[in-house]
Amino acid sequence: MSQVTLERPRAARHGKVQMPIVDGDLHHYFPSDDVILKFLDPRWHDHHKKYGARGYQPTKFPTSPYPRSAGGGRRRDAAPPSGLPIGSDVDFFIEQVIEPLNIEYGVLNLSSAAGTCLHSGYDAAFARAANTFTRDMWLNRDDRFRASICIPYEDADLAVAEIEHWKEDRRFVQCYFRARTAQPIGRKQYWPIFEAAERSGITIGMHLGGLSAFPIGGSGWPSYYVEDHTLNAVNLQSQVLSLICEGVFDRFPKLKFVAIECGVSWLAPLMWRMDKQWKRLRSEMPNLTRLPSEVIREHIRLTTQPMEEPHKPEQLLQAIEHVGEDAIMFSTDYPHWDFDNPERAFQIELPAPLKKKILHENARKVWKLSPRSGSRA
Amino acid sequence: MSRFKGAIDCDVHIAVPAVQVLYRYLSPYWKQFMIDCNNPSLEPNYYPPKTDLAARPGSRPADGKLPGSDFDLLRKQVLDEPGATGAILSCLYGAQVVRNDGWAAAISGAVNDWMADEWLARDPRFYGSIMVPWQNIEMSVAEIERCASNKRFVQILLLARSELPLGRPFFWPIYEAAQRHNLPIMVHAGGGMGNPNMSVGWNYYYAEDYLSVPQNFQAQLVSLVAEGVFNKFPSLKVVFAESGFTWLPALMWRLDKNWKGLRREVPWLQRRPSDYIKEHVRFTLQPTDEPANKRHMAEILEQIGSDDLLLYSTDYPHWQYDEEGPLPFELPAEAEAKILRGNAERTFTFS
Repeated sequence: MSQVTLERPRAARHGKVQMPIVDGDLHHYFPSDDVILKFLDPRWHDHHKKYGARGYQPTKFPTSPYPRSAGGGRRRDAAPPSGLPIGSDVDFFIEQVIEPLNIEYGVLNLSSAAGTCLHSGYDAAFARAANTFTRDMWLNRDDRFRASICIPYEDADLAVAEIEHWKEDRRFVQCYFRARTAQPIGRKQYWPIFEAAERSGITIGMHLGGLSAFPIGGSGWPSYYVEDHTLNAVNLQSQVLSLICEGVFDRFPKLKFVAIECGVSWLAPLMWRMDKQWKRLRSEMPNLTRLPSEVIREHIRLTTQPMEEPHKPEQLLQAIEHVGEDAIMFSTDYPHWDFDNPERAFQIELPAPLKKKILHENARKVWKLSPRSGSRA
Repeated sequence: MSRFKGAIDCDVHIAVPAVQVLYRYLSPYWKQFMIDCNNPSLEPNYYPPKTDLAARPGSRPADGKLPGSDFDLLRKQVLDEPGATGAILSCLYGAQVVRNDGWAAAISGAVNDWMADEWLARDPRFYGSIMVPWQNIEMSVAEIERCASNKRFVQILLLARSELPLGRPFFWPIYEAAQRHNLPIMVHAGGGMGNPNMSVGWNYYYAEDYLSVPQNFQAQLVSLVAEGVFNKFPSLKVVFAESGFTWLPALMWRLDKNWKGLRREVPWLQRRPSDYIKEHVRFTLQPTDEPANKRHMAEILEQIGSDDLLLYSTDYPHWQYDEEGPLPFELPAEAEAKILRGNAERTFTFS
């Protein structure tokens, strides 16, 4: 183990956040396999027990091939007194994060293999179970919860059916992709899903991870989780690139895309490169008539966690400006190990109007959330 | 163009005008192999030749030959007109992206010999890059040993799209030889050893291919640091060419932050990852991918946190800039002098 001594960063202690927060990324979990079976269509029980969630990786431990320490990447102190697995006790969840952080709305993204199973029939059944569980045990328990719809996104027909199934329940605000899709996300095979999402008025949420088909950088597989985790930003760069070049937002002009848990400041250099060379590259895409950065600013949003830690605190404000303050939405990623506490996540005190945008205003717009009575605007 | 008088251009491309020019450097076996295969050109498709990006206005020779293949035209446009006093040439001929390693070695050797005879020997301001058949590490080391005594070669050429991440121990014998001969490794955009270009599969458009290049470099940078290449080879320098660099602060911040939480995996790292990057890695200037907002560009340079990292380049003949020129931002005089010349002098050994 290295003997390097690290300085504690001069993170500003701002005290308890006074304004309401919309948390764009919370992770709840199934408490047990029995609960999964309770919600899973019995036709799939035998399949679930024998074959389960099979993905691209030959090892089966969660997050293959890069193991997480600390209980699958969850904070040890998030262990509920009830003894249930971390993130699966709804009461403790509310007690530990929703209440104390004044979370007005929190978007639940179920941590599971949903979306990544090679067998799309099973994937669809599992997604239905996941979403029903989320509705029954979480959304119905507390009106501060909102959720993403787990979808079997590699099979567009089945994914559209799942979106359609939930369209009357407005607490499902988003449909859920993992970032390591089988093809670049702008590709035509995903367009029916975008159409269904646009029709339903929900966003496309793309969250880091997914059992991956391809190596993350164009050059083979990194050895270490520290590499893989860092390169989640690269993963999303590829995806944003694909969305723009394939003209997804010209085709679906009301659609909004939320990049979740992949960082923020990588987006600005990507916009700059695209804009700079657009005049020389665009002959290949004559239908695209706007500058890439314009399209990105209109349609792409980012959740904050894991928040950037620039080398100098004031550089955080620069990074936010480079990306655009309307693009950024706060998230905690509770209960994962790199959870961001809103009282400490920003190295520098944000000016109040900017703080308001990041902590709730941008998210309220994107997910059409009305201020709750009693919330301070 | 008096601003660039005395500059050293660290990324210039020469092109093999026709594959037959290499034949006199091949053994009879490989020469016959090439003839039997109908003289296949190994010109790569990183910049499809008729696209705008491939050649800036005026750089296509009048006789229709490839941009970068005409000695007089290139010398005029790269050295004489701007007043540059040095140019580092690399040839991206695709020996490094074929599968037969013996063939790769033969063509790499031929390209290196051709470069030495037809370019480096003809003007003392030209410097060269040793192409190595990285499909086979022993053959690569042998090629380095063969060429290193010609001091006009100032670096070793690898490509950004490799079969394994460049930090992997598979490549370390190349780095050992590079360090021993005091030659930097240039990682140049290009390559393609079977992995999809992007993290999520193959691009549909050429535009995605070009625009995704920095993504490869970000992965390679993380690999070089995380695998401990700079711990193992403490005097090694790596030059990223055509990678862009405005993405660097975001990447350094993220990697530093993750290292704090995850460093049990990489216990050989004794300092922040960004400290290793600032010490060992350099970036050629073009393409600059700069924001339209000049203040934002100044902020990025400040965020990079060091004047030592950038190496002036035009990326001739690729068309990366217009009237803004190859150095599209203002700098204090001392920092500008470093970019135009000083950083190159501290990175390469020019003789």
